[in-house]
Amino acid sequence: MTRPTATPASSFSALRQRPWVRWAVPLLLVVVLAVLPLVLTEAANDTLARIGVFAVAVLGLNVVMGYTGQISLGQIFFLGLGAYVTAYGVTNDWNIVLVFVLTCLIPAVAGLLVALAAARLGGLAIAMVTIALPIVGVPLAKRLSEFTGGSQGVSARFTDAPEGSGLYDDQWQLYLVLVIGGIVFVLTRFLVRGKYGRAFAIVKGNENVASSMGISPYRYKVLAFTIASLIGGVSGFLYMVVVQYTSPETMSFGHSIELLVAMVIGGAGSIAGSLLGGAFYVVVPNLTNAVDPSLTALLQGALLLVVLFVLPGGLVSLPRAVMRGLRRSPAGRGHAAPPTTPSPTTGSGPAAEEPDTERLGRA
Amino acid sequence: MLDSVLVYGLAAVILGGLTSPVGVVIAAWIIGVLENLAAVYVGFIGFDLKVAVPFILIFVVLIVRPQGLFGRKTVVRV
Repeated sequence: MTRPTATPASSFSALRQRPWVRWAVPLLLVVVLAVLPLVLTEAANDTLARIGVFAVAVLGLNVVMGYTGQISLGQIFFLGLGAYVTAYGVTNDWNIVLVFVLTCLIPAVAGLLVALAAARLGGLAIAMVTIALPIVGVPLAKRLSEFTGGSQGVSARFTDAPEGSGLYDDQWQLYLVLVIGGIVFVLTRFLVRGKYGRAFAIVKGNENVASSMGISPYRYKVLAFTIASLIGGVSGFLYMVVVQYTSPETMSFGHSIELLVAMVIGGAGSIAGSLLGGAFYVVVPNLTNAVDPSLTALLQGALLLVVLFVLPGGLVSLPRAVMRGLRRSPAGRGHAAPPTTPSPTTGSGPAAEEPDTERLGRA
Repeated sequence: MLDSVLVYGLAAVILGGLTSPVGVVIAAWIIGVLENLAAVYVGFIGFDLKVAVPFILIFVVLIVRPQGLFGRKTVVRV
C-alpha cells in the first residue's frame, strides 16, 4: 500500500511524522510523569518505582541479548552487586554521588572481566559462564559477611525525602527512579539507534559478515556485555533507593530467569519492551498471587506460553499486530473492499479464493 | 525445582564438548569428583562455595579449548 488511505493505522503513522507531534509527545510524557507521583496513592507510587527498577534491569539485559544476541543468564548478579555496593557505601557514610559512580563502575568492571573471557566462546558457552554468576554469587555473598551482612542481608536508608521539599518519602523515591531511570533509557535509546546499535545488530545477525565488514564481533560483544553490567549496576542502585534492603536472595538464579522471561514477554530488542518487561516482572506475580498463591509459578508459565504463541515479538508488538489486523480486515472480506483501491492485498484476496470455490463447485 | 541438576548437566555438556557423548559422561564424572575433593581439601572453597568449582573448571578449559575437552572443532562454511 503506497497510497495512504483512511485506515486508522496510516492516519496514525502520518500523524507521527508531524514535527510538532514528535516534540509534543515526549514533552507530554515528561509532564505526566512529573505530576503523577503527586496524585497517586503510596502503594501505586511504590509499585511504579519497582517497575522502574526492574525496567532498567531488563533494559540492560536487552542490550546484550535483544540487540547483540548473546545469551546472558547473569543479569541479576549485577543488580545484586550494585545493591551491595550502594549499601556498603551508604552504611560507611560515603558521599552519595561517589556511591553512585562506584555503583556504576564496579559492576561494569566485573562485567568487563567476565566478558573478556566469555566473549571468546561461542553461543552456549557464554550462557554457561553467565549462569555461573548468580549461582556462585549467592554463596559468595553469604561468605563475605563483613561486606554483605551474610544471609541476613543489609539495609540502608538514604532516600528519605529532603527537609523542606514537602514531598513524602515514596514520592521522592519515585522521582529519583524516574530521573535516573529516564536518563538511562534515553542514553540507551541513542546507543542502540546509532553507530554502535548497528554494529550490535550485525553481530547478532551474522558474526562472519560483521568481521568481513571490519566490525570485530569480540570487541562489540565485550562492549555490549559491559554496558549491560553497568545498567545492571544502576538498577541495583535504584533497587536500594526503593527497597532499601538487600540480601543474597536478591540475586538468586530464579530471579535471573524471571528477568529473562520479562524481557522476552516485553519484547526483545525494544526500548518500550523493556518497560513492559519491568511492569510484567512486578505486576504479574502480584496478580497471580491474588488469584491463588499456590499456583503462582504455574500461572506465570502459562502466561509466558500464551504470550509467545499469540505475540512472538512480545507485548511491544501488540499495537503493530492490531494495526495489521485492522488493515487486513477490509481486504479479507474481499467484496466489501471499495473497488477504487487496487492494492495487491485486495487484489490477491478474492483471486486466490475464487479457483477454490470453482473447484469445489465442480466436484 | 531440580535447578542444580540442570546446571550441572549443562556444565558437563559444555565441558565435555557438544559433539562427543562419551566426553560428556567423562566430564560429568570429573566435575563430580573434583568438586567434592576441592570442597574438602581447599580451605577457601569449603562446602558452601563448592558449586563454583565446575564453573571455574569450565572457564579455564574453555579458554584453552573452546570446543570442550573431547569436542571436535566445527568448521562452518560461509
